[in-house]
Amino acid sequence: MGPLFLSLAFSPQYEKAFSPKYLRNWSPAKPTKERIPSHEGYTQIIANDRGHLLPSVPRSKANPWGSFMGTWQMPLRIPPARVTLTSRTAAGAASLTKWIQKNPDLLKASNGLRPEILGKALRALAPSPAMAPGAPSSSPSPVLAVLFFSSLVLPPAQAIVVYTDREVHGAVGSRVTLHCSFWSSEWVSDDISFTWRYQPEGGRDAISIFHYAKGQPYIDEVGAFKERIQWVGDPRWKDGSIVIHNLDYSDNGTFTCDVKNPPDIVGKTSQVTLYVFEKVPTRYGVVLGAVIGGVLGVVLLLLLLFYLVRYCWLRRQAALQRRLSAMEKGKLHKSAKDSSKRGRQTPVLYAMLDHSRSTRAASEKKAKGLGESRKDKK
Amino acid sequence: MLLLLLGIIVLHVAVLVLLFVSTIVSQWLVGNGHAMDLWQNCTSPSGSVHHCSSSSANEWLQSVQATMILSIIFSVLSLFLFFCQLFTLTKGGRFYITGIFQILAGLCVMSAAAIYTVRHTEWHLNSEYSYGFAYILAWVALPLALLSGVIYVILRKRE
Repeated sequence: MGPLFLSLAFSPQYEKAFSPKYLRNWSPAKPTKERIPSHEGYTQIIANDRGHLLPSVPRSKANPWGSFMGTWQMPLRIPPARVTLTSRTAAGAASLTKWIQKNPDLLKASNGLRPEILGKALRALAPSPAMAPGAPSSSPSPVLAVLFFSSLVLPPAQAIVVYTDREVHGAVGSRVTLHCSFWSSEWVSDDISFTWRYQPEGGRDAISIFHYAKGQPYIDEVGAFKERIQWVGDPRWKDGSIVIHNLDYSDNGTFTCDVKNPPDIVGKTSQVTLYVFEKVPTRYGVVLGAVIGGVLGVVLLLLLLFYLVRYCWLRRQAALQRRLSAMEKGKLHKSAKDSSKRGRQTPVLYAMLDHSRSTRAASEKKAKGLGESRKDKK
Repeated sequence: MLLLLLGIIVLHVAVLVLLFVSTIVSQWLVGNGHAMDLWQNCTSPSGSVHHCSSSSANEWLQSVQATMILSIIFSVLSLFLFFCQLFTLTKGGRFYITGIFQILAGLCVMSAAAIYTVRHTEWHLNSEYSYGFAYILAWVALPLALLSGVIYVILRKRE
């Protein structure tokens, strides 16, 4: 039994090393206050729960993310937002006011400077010492280096433009999609509304058959299109299309798509005429294009194939030719070796030379003949 | 030699011109006061005022239009290829590609005219009619195109 070094209670002086603060793997939360004290200010709520700016918040018309004003466009000193002119001299008050009005970009910005000038200046009294256009007061104006949004004076907003097809063909009993898209100079707001109206062929009045507002589609439940309309559009993608199921001959007529995107509400609507046939006729030009494209494609393909095959054949011919000439040369060497065994050196050399010359001529003639026939085939 | 070349070129150009005229001019079918072709129907009831409307979108009419256009395309390609091959072909060679394209053009014209003859009642309802000169030109262009193509195939290039 050796000495027992275990003790049931851990000795406390070495435990501190394992506390999380010294291991640095986590640390307990620092105590924080739930509400900021009132002398530090208050939080301005400018957006709703979904992150959309509240309508009362001034927003830039040029760009939803504001216009960037760079560091070098910012003034060297930002004038104070709230100025009290009481007991200031006339000259001092005048210089302060002038300083505030000096940079129009800061004032015209949608969340820019909103100067509050309170009080009245002293008239013609002794100038007071402290007059420097001081450090900016505790106003919610951003620091120089922060992004500063400024909106430019805009030309009046253009009207909303709606696009639909001009004509749509459908077969009886099937379904058809009526597309509707739009262009708006304003960004798609939550109050956007789509309305589809139907005017029967030969009729005079247009009845409203579909309405979409505030994210909720309302389809016709009592009229001629009862339970036949389906909303397939998406305001985010600027699409206000509907699908009409189970077409009938009585659906012939003109459909009007009307889009309103507040504040952009002025604009022309667009109409699409629905034709219902027993069998949908093919569009003009489909057969034309198909025949021309098909025949040209086939001809080109055949040509390509032909040239490919010819190229491969020529290559094989060249390879065969090379092998043939190599074989000839081999036979030649073999015969030379045989004769060298019998005779002396020099006459054999001459015989070899003669033989090689004759074979070379023969092979040349053979090549020329082949080439000519090849050209002929071309 | 030069005369032969000139003659061949003249023949080819004549075929091309015939094809163009036949496709464009509005005289495939004529009746009293109206004339129709592949692209439009023109009526002139009082003799001076022409009132033209486009032809129907019938599939057969579209195929006739397509084949006529194809024949023009092939003929133009064949002319272009002829000039190419004139300078690149080796001595003794034959103008195969040119001939093939020209023959294809002839076949296209033949199919167009044949389809038109058989199916023209589908897209017009006039009872009295007779064939106009553009129709005749299409049939004339056929043997000329075939002849031209065959000549190209047989011909051998000489210096």
